Amino acid sequence: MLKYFMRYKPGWWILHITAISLTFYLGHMMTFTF
Amino acid sequence: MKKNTLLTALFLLAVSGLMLHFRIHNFMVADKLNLGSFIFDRSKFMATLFPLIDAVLVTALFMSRKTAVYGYLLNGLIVIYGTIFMAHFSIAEITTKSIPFPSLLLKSTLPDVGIAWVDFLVGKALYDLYMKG
Repeated sequence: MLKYFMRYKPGWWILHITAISLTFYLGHMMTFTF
Repeated sequence: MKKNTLLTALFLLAVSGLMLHFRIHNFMVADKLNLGSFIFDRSKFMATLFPLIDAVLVTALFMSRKTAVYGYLLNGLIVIYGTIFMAHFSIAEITTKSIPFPSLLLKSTLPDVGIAWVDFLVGKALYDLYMKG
């Protein structure tokens, strides 16, 4: 299991988890009023 | 020099996007209940914040060959966010204002999405130039 995680550097994981979290957060907070 | 031309194009597109968002839907919205006062709109603030990051951070990252890859990545992320949120904005507007569906082509933010992708492609051309040279 660990070898699959070690395939990429920690920075790669941090970057991707941050980007995905930000995407979910933005999707949650966006409201459009007209 | 090709690099400076592309960098200027990238910066001008980002600044123009920032100015347009700031003018068309400012994040300080007039409060209909209390005349003369304004409410802070988080969603509209994001529409100003992302082009600001695009103009400042992405341009700064694209200035050096070492950081160009991060600039390319961030530029791509911002353009994808722009595409999704502008499409969402248009679909929401069309539904609320009952605008006929065929007018989605010209009355939506589809042309703006096109301009956002030009920003990405200019960034790509600059990144390719850095990697080649």
